[in-house]
Amino acid sequence: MVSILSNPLATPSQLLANQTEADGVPSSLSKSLLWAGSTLIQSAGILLRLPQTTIATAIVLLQRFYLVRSLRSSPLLDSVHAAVFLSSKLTEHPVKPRSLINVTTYLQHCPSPSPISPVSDNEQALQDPDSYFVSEHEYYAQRTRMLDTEAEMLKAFGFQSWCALPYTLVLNYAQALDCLDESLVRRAIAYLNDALMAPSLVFLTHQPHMLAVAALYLAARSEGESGGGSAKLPEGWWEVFDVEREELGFLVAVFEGAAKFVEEQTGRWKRRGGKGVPWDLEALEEELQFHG
Amino acid sequence: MDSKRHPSSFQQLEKLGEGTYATVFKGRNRQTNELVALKEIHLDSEEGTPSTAIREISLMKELKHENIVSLHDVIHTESKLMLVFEYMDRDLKKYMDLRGDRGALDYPTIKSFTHQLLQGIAFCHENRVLHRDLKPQNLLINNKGQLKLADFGLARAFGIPVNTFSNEVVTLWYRAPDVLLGSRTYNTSIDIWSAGCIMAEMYTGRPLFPGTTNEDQLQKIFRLMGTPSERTWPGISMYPEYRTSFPVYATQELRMILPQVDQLGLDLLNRMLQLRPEMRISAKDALRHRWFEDLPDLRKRGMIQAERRGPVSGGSMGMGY
Repeated sequence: MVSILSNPLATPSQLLANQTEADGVPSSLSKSLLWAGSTLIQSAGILLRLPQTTIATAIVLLQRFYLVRSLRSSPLLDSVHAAVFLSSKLTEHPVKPRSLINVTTYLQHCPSPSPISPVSDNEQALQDPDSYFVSEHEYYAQRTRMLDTEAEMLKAFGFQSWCALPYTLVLNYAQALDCLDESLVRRAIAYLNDALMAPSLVFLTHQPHMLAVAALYLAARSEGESGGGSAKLPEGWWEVFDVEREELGFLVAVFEGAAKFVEEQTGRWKRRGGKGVPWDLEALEEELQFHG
Repeated sequence: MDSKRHPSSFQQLEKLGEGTYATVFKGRNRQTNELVALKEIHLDSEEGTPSTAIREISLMKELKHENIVSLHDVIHTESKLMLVFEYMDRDLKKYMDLRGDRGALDYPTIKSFTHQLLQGIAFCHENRVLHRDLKPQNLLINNKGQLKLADFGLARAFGIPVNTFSNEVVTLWYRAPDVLLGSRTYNTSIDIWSAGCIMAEMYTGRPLFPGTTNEDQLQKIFRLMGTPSERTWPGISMYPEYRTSFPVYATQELRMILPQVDQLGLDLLNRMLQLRPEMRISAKDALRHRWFEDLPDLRKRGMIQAERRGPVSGGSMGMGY
């Protein structure tokens, strides 16, 4: 049954048999790299003016891919490109390979609000477009690797690349609870975007309706705390949407923990000075030696 | 379905057709000798794997039904993607040219094909898939008289309702009036409209509404079904392509232009060819229509020409897959 409301979920054995960690990459580094890849997608998506559904789909595809492939054999940057490229086609907002590669190169080299961009130590970096110019030769090389990775992804997924997302469910549930209010919905959607970055990969382990309920729960709670006058939700309302209290508790903890995790990771790569995130295999091997 | 198999597992025979994004060959499995259809998709270096192919593969893997052409395998190489389908002898268009009387088919065959068409559609709809491009060229027929839906390149999974990226779907002649009027939130009813057009075409051998442009297509439909107004179709003036200047035609009786169709058949056609999408019969209800009551009997008595064995010469299937 083709379903628009549910996803194929990661199995416990897939989650336990993390390919990257089995390949000798420490767990914290593996998690941090997946975060960096997801962040690069989010930032590139914004610069490419892609809708959040396209961006979120790309992040979910990236996370699914590394459930079954190792960062040590499939380079992070190529997978980021392939995930965005594939997602942009699946969600009917196709991007050109050239624009995509230009944008990710820019983000890797220029100080920008993205958490994975280098810190600006001088004004020079911003003013030197040469630092992020992609030559024809480099472009063809990156595009070829992107297309190879796309084929590899489709093979890994058995072509089942559909991603159901919780965003519209948030609206739908808020409407059903009679608390449809712009600031509440904004908050809920912000929580969902946080959760996309969480190391527990909740978008792979939980169905969209559960994520929507958790986001709405947190949004309603923080609205209440900040004195926002939105309607009080009825006792145990999440049960109406088939979410149990324990499940909700777990998701709330994950959603709330995401911000702290992101802060730690940002600090981690900023501290590494100009070296930044190891996007390709060579840099990853160097990083591993540094760690070892 | 993983890409373990190599293209050389199949012997490539004659070319069956060529489309915008794929070439179809007849092929033979070297191990089993089984005939197959090989749909070769060239991978473009700017586009990568086409989204139509991804969509088609992901849907075809889910849709296993006797009235839907089955996808056996997918072979992915550097420069191309090869989809291995079950082999079918020809498409409905060729079948009508070959077996029909100036294209028109015999009544029992029409009933059998319409029933199989609706069964395939019903299965898609139950599984939340819209075909969106039903036409005689996309319905494949084998020598056992089986009809199967093919070419799911434009199909998509739907929610409620589908908000489409464009209304440029469904070949003009079989396109539903709501789509022609610019609706971007169509649903399962668009496939039913196409099925109605195809059923009528099997009777006459000619397309029911052979329009040349969007506007001409609408006019051809209105000339027969009557020009709709706010009174007969509340909300019609909200459609982007609606014009107050549409020529006003009175509704014609279907039996005037399709005198060869019996009373019950006309009733079914009428229910499928409703201008208003919400008035169109569902595939499931259409299958329960009284017109199909004598189908088992016709089949038992061997009246369905398409199911009579015997070689049919010539006419390969064209670009149906």
